[in-house]
Parts: sequence; C-alpha cells; structure tokens
Amino acid sequence: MSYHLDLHSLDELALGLPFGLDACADVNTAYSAHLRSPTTESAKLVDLWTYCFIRRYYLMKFIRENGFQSCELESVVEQTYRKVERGRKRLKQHNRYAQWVSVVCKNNFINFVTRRSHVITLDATAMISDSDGDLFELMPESEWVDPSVDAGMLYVALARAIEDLPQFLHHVARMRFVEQLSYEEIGRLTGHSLATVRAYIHKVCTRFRRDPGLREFKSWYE
Amino acid sequence: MRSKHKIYDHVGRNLDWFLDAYVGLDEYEKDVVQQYVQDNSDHASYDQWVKRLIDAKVMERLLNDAGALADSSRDIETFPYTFLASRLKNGPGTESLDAELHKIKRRRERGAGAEEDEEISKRLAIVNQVEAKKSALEHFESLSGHVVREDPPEYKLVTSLGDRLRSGPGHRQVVPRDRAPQPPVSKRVRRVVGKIVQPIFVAVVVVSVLQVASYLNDSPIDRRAHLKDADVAWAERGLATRGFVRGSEIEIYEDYVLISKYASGARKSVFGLFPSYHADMLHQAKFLMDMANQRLEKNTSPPGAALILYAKISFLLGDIDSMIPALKKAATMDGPSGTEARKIMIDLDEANLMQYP
Repeated sequence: MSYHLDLHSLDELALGLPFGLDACADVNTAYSAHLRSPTTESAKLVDLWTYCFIRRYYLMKFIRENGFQSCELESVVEQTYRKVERGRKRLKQHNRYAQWVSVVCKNNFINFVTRRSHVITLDATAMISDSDGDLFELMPESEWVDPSVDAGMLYVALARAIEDLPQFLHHVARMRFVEQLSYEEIGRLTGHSLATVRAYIHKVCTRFRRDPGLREFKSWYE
Repeated sequence: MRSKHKIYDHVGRNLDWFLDAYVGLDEYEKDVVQQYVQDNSDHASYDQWVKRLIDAKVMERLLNDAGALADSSRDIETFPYTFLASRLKNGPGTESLDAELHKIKRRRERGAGAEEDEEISKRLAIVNQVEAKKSALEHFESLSGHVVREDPPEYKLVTSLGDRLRSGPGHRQVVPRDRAPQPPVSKRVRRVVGKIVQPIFVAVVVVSVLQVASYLNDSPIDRRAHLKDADVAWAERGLATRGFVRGSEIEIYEDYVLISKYASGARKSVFGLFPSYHADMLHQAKFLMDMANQRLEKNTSPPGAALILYAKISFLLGDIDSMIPALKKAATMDGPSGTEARKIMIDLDEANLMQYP
C-alpha cells in the first residue's frame, strides 16, 4: 500500500522557521524573547510557527479521524489560530507557549467535533467557554497530552533517543523499552551475562535522562 | 530470583546506582528501591532520594507509554504523525522515523487493517484536496497580516556591500549550462557508455565552472565573512559539553543556540554556490545577540565565537560600525576565535574597511 500526500505548501511555509515544528524549547524561547522585546520579525516568527503547528495538527486529525470535509480544515485552523491570538495575552506561563498552543488545538478540536455532531454535552459546553486560555492554568498537566496526536511524537522521541545511543546499546534499549523484555530474556537473546545487561540498561537510563527529546516530553508528565 | 532481603541489602549499598537505573529495573527491584527509601526517611539524603525517585517515576510513565506504542494494534495512533513528519522537511528527520514508517507499512501490507488502509487513502485524498485548494502560505498571510510571499529581502554580499562600501568587482556572469554535442559513435556499446558518461561529465564540468564562478564572485573578505558551520555550531556544542557552560550561563547559551539557528536559517545556497542571506533573519539574530550579551554579568565578555558570529552577521548586514568593536574585542582573545578575528581584520584592512566610516 502506498500513500500519496502532497504537503508542498505547508512544507514551504514551515521551512521559513529557524527551528523544527516540534522544537518546543526553541519555540518557547522565541516567544519569551518576543514578549521581552517585540519586533515585526519576532511577531512574524511566533505567528508562523503557531499557524504551521495548528495546520499540521488538524492535518493529523483529518488523517486519524473519519468523516471530515476538505472545506472544514480551513475554518477550523482559522478558528484555532484566532483563539490562540486572543488567548495568549492571558497566558501566564510564557515558557510553555508551545504546549499551550497544543492544548488549545486539542480543546478546539473537541469543540469542533461536538458542534459537528450537534450534540453538546455539559462537559463539552464547559470546555467551549474555557478553551481560550484559562483552561491551561486549570487543567492538570497530565491531561495536556492528546493521545491521538502526541502518541506519534512520543514514539518518535523514543525511537530517536535509541538512535542517538552508541551502537552497542541499540538492541538492548529496544528490547527493554520497546519490546519490554526482562533482563533474563535480553541476556538469552544477546548472549550477554546478566551483569552486562544490567550495566547496559544503566547506561541507557543515564543517557535517556539527558536526551533532549525525551526531556521535552517529560515536562508534560511532571 | 534472589531473595528480597538480599536485594534490599544490595540496594542499600548501591542506592545511587539503583536510582539512576530505576526505569530499567524489574518490577520487584523497583518495589525494593521504593521500600528502602521509605524505610530511611530519617536519612540526611532522604529528600534528595525522593526527588530522584519521583523524577524516575515520571520517566518510567513516559517510557511505558512510548514503548506501548510499538504494538502493531496501535499503528493507527502513531501513523498520522509519523507519516506527516516524514513528509515535511521541517520535521524531526530521523532515520528511525523512516524505519518506523516502513515497518508500519510492511505490517499493513501483510494484511493488518486493509479496510482501515482504504479509509486512510480516502482521508489522504481529502488532505490533498485541501492543500491544493488554498495554499498554507496564502492562508497564513490572510490570517496573520504578515507578508511571506514577497521576495524575501535577501542580502547579496557583493552587490549591496559593493554599492555601500566600495567600488568592488561587479557581478560575474554565471557560465551558462551548455549541452555538450553528441559525439558521433558507431558501436552500440560505445554509444551506451557514452550516454552514461556524457551527462556525468557535463554535470561535473558545469558544477566546477559554477564553483569557480561562485568563488570569483566573492572578494577575499566576502569569502571570509560567509557563515560556516563552525560559526553556528559552537553554542549547541557548548551546551552539550560538560563543564564548558557554567550554571548561570545556561540561559544565555540557550539564547546563543537560538541565535545560531537564526543565522544558520538565514543562509541560502544550493550546493554551497553563490551563497546569499535572508536579511530579516540576520536582523533578528543580531537583535537577539544584543539582548543576550546585555544579560551577561558585568565585566563578563561574550565568548569569542559569539563575537565572531556577531561580527560576521553585522558585516553581512553592512553594519560595519557594529562589526569592528566586536572584532577588536575577539582579536584580544587567545584561541581559534582570536586568530580568526585577527585574520578578518587583516582582510578588512586590505579592503580599506578598518577605517570605516
């Protein structure tokens, strides 16, 4: 099965950013710098990242979920972008801008889906009224994560962390943290002694703790 | 399995090691570590242990979630991001991303979720329609009021600087790509070989000519001013290298990393030929560098590499007033930055720019 997808226009736009779309730390630094000393360029940069992130978020949702029309993307992106624009004035945690935008996307998506189905539950109504910005402060951070979108990012972060390990640790790390094998099983499969496996896992854990991709996600779980 | 009592003693003797490796431990070992910490609440390091334990548990949840996603039944959860990220140049761009995507595809080809596949293809067709209907660029411009579409105000080294600072050499015409005439050949084998070799030969000649043209296009000082990888990589290396950055300087170094990214993003060139720069990104880098340097403690000089980067950015923007003090400061330093600064100053002197204005 081959999947065809032409993302030329978004790709071109996102290339104007000096950092990756998922580089939360860089985005937050750029946002804080913009607030300290706003310029036309800094505003453009923040807006550009915000737009690209929101658009990609909904593209992912459109691929993940069923029943969307092509005409709906533009309006839902626009609606979310406006919410971010309005809500960020009230955002207190400037160093969490990227995460906050993600939360706004998530809530707006819930609103969008709820409105489409013409069934507005009490919970959803509460979310609609809050979703501009305050919600971020009220919501427990464990609920910031959007499993249907962030799952991919999280998995890639782990895959990348493993890729960045020295070659001799790759297999052991995959066996332990992806395939969830026990020390004994790893020892049997690799031919290493239990002590060696333990030493390797220790090395992997130490490196994972320092890995920037995983650290970025860690702040979502804290 | 070793007895719990024996492990308990072992944990007690090597608690640091066990706390470091907590996320990788077997479940019964984790219980023992936790128990040991709880039993020793009167220990001087108790607070420290608890902090590390909490930290390890956060990492454990994260790794469990990430690891669980490797299950083929959850392909559909990871697929949208993996697929989109692999299609965007501004994505994480890792080998593992491609490998994961390949694995997902392979599993699906083997029949896991054929119906879902059909559905995904339909959805991708919708996304393609959306992308074709209104480009992201147009949409962004109409929403934000920013203008991205106009030709970015690029700074071309020779033209702008030449106009402003000196009557330098004019543009050299790029040698046009000529097609080599097909040599008359009679034998079939020679013809096939010729067909393969000729385009390669022509490509090599064209690239060589362009490289020479690109080289001659720049004066020695222009060539020295071009941003090289080393000019933009030092900050990230500094952050990653233990001991290079002291605690209080980390924030400033994070700013330097961002500045380096701006500077690096401003470079525009194909195969290193005829490099040019986006002026707005250079301006932003210079502005952020000013802000970062202001935050340095009193009597602390920015690192030599930061001064060189600042000088080069200033030069590329034609701001000689800002460039010269930074260079002079860097030239007083030891090490490669000092040497580089002194070389640039010699070139500037030869180009009669040190007396500017």
